[in-house]
Amino acid sequence: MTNWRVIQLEEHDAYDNMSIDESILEHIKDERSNPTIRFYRWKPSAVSIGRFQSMEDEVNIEKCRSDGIDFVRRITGGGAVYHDYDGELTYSIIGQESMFPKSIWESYRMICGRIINGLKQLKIDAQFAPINDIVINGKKISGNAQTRKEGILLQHGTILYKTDVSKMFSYLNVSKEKISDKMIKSVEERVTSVYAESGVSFQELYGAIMLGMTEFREYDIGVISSSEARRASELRKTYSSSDWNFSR
Amino acid sequence: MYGTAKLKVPGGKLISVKVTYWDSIDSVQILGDFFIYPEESILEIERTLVGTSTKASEQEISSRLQSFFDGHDITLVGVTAQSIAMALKMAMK
Repeated sequence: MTNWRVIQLEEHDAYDNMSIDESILEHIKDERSNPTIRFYRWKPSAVSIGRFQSMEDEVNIEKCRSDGIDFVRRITGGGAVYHDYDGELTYSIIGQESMFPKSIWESYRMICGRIINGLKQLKIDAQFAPINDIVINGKKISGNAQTRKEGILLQHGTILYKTDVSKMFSYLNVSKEKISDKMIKSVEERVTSVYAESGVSFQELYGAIMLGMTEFREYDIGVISSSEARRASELRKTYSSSDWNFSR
Repeated sequence: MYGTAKLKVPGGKLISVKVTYWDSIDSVQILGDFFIYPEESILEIERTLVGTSTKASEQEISSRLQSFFDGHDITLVGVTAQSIAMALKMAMK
């Protein structure tokens, strides 16, 4: 059986992060790359929106531009996410669909189960919350999104490390009524973070999630191939284009 | 005329519809944080709604959508044919 490739924590901007994920998907489809688990951060911090969302509806574009925050449309559905450089860890897992449960719901459960196992290393007791979230006592700590293309499954997701709700709201469009102190408090009551739960360092979180994702899997530490990087640089043109980002 | 509507699918996701119409639908966009597989089919789904009479009932629109999903092997997660039809009717009120 083919070993997994694990690409250790990297930092890229939003357009490269999304291009690399799609390039890897294409390479696995063409049997030029092994199934891959990848960890990354967003530098600069960025907002990503789901495939079916409207950039103008969801994102405070003016504020993002003035603060140097990237904004990008993902290949996957789901909601808008503020990816704070210091505030979260992102992973992607990409492999043949046959390696995962056929049911979308069950495959979310299986992959999220690995994150939950990772969090257990930090003595954090988290639960899967269908469709695509992980929660601790009802408070969200991880959001995940999955696509399937030509026999390949790609799921990426974030684990919140430190959350600054007011900063998050400054980049996401919510009505003025909703951004009131009351609303921020209610979101703070519905969201938590690894730091708030356990006080561990970012590196400890990364180590725990790495363990959760790789446990009982045969894997090699690898890098993005030159062919994947070349294709990613082509895909970057799409991900950084207004045609794509403002297509809806 | 132009209309919009938003609704939260019970146990699911948010859906927002933007529609231009007169006697029938001229154009429609279905937006939200749901999942549709394959993703590219969203444009076909929207196209299939163009020309739908504004008099069509929620049930008629829902059935039409469901047949389209079944015929094209489209999977919806967090949204349903019924909820899209409901949002569409709300937007055209």
